[in-house]
Amino acid sequence: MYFLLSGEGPTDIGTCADGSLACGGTAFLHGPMSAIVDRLVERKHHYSILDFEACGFISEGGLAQRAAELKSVKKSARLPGKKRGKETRYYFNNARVMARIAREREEQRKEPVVAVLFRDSDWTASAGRGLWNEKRESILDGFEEERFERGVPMVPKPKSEAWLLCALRRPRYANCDALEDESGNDRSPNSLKKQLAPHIGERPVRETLVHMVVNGIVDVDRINMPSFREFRQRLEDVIE
Amino acid sequence: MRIQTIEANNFKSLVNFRLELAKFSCLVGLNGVGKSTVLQFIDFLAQQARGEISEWLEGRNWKHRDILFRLKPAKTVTFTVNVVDPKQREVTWAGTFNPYRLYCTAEKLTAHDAELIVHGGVYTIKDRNPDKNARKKAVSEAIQFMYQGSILSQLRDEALPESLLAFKRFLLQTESLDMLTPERLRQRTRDAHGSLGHGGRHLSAFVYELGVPGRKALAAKLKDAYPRLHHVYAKSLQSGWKQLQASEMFGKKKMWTEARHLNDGLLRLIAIFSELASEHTFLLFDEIENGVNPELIEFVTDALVKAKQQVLVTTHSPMILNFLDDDTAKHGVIYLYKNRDGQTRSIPFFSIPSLKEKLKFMGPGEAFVDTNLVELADEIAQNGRKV
Repeated sequence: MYFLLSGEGPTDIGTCADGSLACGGTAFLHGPMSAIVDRLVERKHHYSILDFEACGFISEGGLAQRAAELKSVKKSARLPGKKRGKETRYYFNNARVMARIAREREEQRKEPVVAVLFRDSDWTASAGRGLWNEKRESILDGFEEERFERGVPMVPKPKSEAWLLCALRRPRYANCDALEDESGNDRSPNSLKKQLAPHIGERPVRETLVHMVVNGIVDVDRINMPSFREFRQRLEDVIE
Repeated sequence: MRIQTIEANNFKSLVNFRLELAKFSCLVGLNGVGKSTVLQFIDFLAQQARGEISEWLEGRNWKHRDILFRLKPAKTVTFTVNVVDPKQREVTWAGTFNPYRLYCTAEKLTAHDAELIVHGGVYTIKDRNPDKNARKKAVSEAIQFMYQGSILSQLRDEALPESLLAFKRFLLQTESLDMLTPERLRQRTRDAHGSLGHGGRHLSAFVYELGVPGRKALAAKLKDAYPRLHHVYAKSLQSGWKQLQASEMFGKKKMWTEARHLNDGLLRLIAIFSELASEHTFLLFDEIENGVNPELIEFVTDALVKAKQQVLVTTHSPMILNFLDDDTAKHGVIYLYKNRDGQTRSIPFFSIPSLKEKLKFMGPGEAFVDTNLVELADEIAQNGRKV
């Protein structure tokens, strides 16, 4: 089983050492969210997808390059309405593109591919607008639209810092649900990013955060908040 | 020539308002934010070059005070228009319009080689063009006559240096169709004088004035949308009234239909495409999608984007936007909103970070319809714009 991971930057899923849009193996500098995926897979299957280089990375820019395929169908109408909220199409289309790429990888590698699509729910493409659950479901809808069954939305509410803070702020692992109600805007006075800063210390941030997950300072088994539970449940179902 | 920027102050909700225009621009935004007002304002500017502001107000059923922003005590409308000529040389026109006197009490029109200034009841023309030996280098005279609008409406063409005259002609050839209605499009009329008129009421004469080749080209273009369409014809009746009619082919049978029985969509398309075939230089259409069935949206949008004229439309239609390519959308789709003081503001829609991001993954129309516009002002404010 191979894992295709996509995120927004070095401090979530990771990045490519040479700045490429897609990479794997040692060129993939994984971030803390990839480390979380790794830990959860290891719990089930007793091997590390990072150590065994059983994963590849594609950046948001890499997905955007392929998104032209979807954009060319000008009349494609997936309108918001009673059944579908606004501010969801970005997630839907990201998932569709990722599903297409994941399927191509399956054909190349002749093995099943699990696609983990990480996107903050309160981020640039919606700037605080729209509902978390509708965004997450739109990712599932996007995978389904492409008939791809091994897609996993990794959508923290409002962003990855909330999951990490659940483990790091005191009292640790307590009242984590409340973190989901905080603003995802980095400019707000007590933003999650600012709350996280004292726990990280010296840069570089990516390595520090990965270290925290790998060494159990951020314990994936103790993070208990709705958006994390949904992610974990779906991942475990898919890799079953 | 094409308009690059327009600044307006105190015209209805346009207070300290600035708008950048591309060759094709499209205003979007919630109801009541000032989209139609922008079209009215540009029409108001064009009317300055024609004079006859009273008639213009009457045509819109406005009183002179209706022009002014109601939440701020100001007695004049000020404006600045910046255009570029085909050689990319700038022409700037700034003025102060007094709605009680109905004329511009101050004006400054500056081109690369000439200048026209109205100040303190005196107008001055400075001509710096070295080739024009015959013309006086500077003329300055007290204004001894009554007029409405800009002094451009009164000065003979020969009195104006070429660069300033070109600007005046650009204004005169600006056509705002912000009130097109099927009833008016169906009217018979005697003369169009090169304009569709309020609500499109001169359509029949306007089509008549296109002449036979113009009408043939119009019908040929419309056939792409209406394959059965055979002829668009404007008949001059004995009394001088012009009657618009169109013929369609059903098998081998031709059927003529007079304007009052033509469907609204076809009438609107005749109006739009006869404008595109005209000599007008700047065309403005309000709610361009009205009466156009979804199958024809691409046809109409492509025609407007590729038009020889500068075009400004307003729309609520994600389909119209979706048929724009990304580059046209980035430069041309302008989001209007109102700030807390009820004043209209503009921002290129796809310069807003979330929209820029969305455009990577979806068409411009999809991004538009996927966005909660009511909450968009918060993001615009967060990104440093005064809301």
